[in-house]
Amino acid sequence: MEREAMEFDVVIVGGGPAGLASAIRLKQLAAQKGSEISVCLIEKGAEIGAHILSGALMDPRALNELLPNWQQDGAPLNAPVSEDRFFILSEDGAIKIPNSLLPKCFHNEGNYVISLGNVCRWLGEQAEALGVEIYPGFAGAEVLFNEDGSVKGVATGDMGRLHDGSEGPNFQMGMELLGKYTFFAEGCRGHLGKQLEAKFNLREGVDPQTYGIGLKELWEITPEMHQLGLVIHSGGWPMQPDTYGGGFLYHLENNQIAVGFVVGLGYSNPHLSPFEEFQRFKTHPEIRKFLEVARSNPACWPLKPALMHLPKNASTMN
Amino acid sequence: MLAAEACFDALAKECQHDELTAYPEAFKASWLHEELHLSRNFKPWMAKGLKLGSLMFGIDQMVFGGKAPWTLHNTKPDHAKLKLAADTQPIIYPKPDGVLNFDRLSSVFLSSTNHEEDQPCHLQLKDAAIPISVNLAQYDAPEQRFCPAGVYEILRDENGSNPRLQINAQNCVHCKTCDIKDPSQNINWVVPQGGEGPTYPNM
Ligand SMILES: Cc1cc2nc3c(=O)[nH]c(=O)nc-3n(C[C@H](O)[C@H](O)[C@H](O)COP(=O)(O)OP(=O)(O)OC[C@H]3O[C@@H](n4cnc5c(N)ncnc54)[C@H](O)[C@@H]3O)c2cc1C
Ligand code: SF4
Repeated sequence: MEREAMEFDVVIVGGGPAGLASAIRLKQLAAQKGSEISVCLIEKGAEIGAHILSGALMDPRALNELLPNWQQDGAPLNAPVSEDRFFILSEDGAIKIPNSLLPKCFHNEGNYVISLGNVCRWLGEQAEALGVEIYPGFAGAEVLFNEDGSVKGVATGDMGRLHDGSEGPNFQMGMELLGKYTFFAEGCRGHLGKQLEAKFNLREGVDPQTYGIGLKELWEITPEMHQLGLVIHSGGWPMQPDTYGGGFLYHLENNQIAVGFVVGLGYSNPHLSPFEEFQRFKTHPEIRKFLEVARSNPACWPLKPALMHLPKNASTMN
Repeated sequence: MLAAEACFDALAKECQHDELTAYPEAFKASWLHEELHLSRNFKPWMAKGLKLGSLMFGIDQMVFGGKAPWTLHNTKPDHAKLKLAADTQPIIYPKPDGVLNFDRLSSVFLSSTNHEEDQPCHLQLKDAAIPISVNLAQYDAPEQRFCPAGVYEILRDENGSNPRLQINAQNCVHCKTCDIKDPSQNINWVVPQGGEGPTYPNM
C-alpha cells in the first residue's frame, strides 16, 4: 500500500514554543508581503500543550517581538514576578543569598510565572487564526529524503499495529507530509532529531550535549501563604556537592504554586534517583511550609505531579 | 522566529530543500545568542561542585560580566559519567507518606499518561541481554531509578534468581531520560502512536 502524501510549503514537527513561534512568524511574514504560504504543524500529544511541562519563568522579550498585542489578546501571562529569593539549603537550614550577589540569570524582574502548557495552547490558537494547519495526535516517525539526500518531509507513524508489528484490526497507515522546508522542533533528544544528527554529523566538532531532568508538581495552597509572583530557587541539599541540581517554587495565579526540582543528568552515582531527590526536596522546612498549609485545608490538593526534561544549552554556543 | 524569517526569504526566492544558512548567521547576531553566550559557563562551572562552581561563576559574571576570556568545555556525554555501583555509596530515600511526598506510580497516574499496550514497544533495546549482563551487573540497573515513571523493573523468581527486565511502556511520560542516561546506550526511545503519552492540563 502506498502512503498518502500531502504537500506544503513548510512542515513543522513539534508544537512547543519553538514550533509554534516559527509557524506564526511564517504566516505573519506572508500576510505582510501579501503572499500565500502553506504551513502544517504536527504534535504527538493529544492536543497542543498536552506534552509540555516546564517551570516556568518567561521573559516576555520574544513574545513582544512576535505578538506585541499579547496582553489585549489574552495571553495567559498573569503572574508578574514580584520577588526573587535564592537559598543554599542544608538538611535543615537555609542561607539566603543576597540578591545583589546573584548572577543576572537569577534576576527575574519583568518576567512572568506561567504555565508553558497554557502559553502553548494560546500560541496554538493564534497560529490557527493565522491559517496554520495544526494536527495534534500525529507523531513524526520517519524523515523522508529526496534522492539528492536533502530532506523532503516527514511521515507520521502508523496507527493500530500490534505488539509484533503486524497490522491489527484498526490499522491505519501513516501519511507523508512533504515540505519545501521542514522544521524539526521536537525539543531535546528528538526522535527524528537523533536520526538527522547522525546522518548529517550535526554534532561533529561541538561539545556533547548535557541534559537535566525536571520534575514538577502543581499545588493549590491557602491564600495566607500565597504571594503572587514570588520566585524561589535553591541549590545545595539534597544534592551532593558534586551533583548539579536545584529546586524551584513559583507562585502562580489562583493560589497555585509550581514546585519542582532539576537534576543534571551528568551525575555519577548510579544509585541516585531524580524522582526521589525531588520528593525529598519537598520535605525541607523552607519548602514544606508552603505545602503543609495545603494539607491542613481540605480544599487544597496536589494537582499533577509530572515529569519531563530540560535541555541545557551548554554546548549550543560552541 | 529567526528560522522562520530565513525560511520565508528563501521561499520568496523560490528555493527549496536546501540548508537555511541565513538562520545560523541571524542567530549569532541576535540578543538570544548574546544572552546564552554570557551565561555559557554556568553549567560547566557548577559541574565542578557547588562551592567552587558558585565562586567561579560569580567571578565569571561579576568581574567579567559574562565576557570572560574562557569558555569551559564539556567533554563527556551524560551517559559516560556514571560510575560503577561498587565504587559508589547507596542512597537511602525516605518512604513516601502520601501527603507531602509520593511514590512513582501515584505520580504517573496523575500525569494521565496512557499508551495502547498492544503496539510495538516504543522503548527499543538494541541488545536484549545488556540490561542484565551489563546494567544490572555493573550499575545495579540504574534505569529502575533514573526513569521517573517506573517503566523499568527488574523482576526475579521467588528465590531471587533469574533476574529479567520488564518494560512497562504504557507508563512512559516521554522524558527521554533513559535514551540519554543508559550507560550502555542500549535504549532507543522512538515515538509511540500519535496522541498517546501524558495529558498535562496546565504544566
Ligand atoms: C522543569 C522545567 C523547568 C523549566 N523552566 C524554565 C523556565 O523557568 N524558563 C524557561 O525559559 N525555560 C524553562 N524550561 C525550558 C523550556 O521548557 C524549554 O526550553 C522549552 O520548552 C523548549 O521548547 P521547544 O519548543 O524547543 O520544545 P518542547 O517544549 O519540548 O516542545 C516540543 C514539542 O514537540 C512535540 N514532539 C516531539 N517530538 C515529536 C515528533 N516526533 N512528532 C510530533 N511531535 C513531537 C512534543 O510533544 C512537544 O509538544 C524548563 C524546562 C523544564 C523541564
Ligand atoms: S522516556 Fe522517561 S518515562 Fe519514558 S521510559 Fe524513558 S525514562 Fe521512563
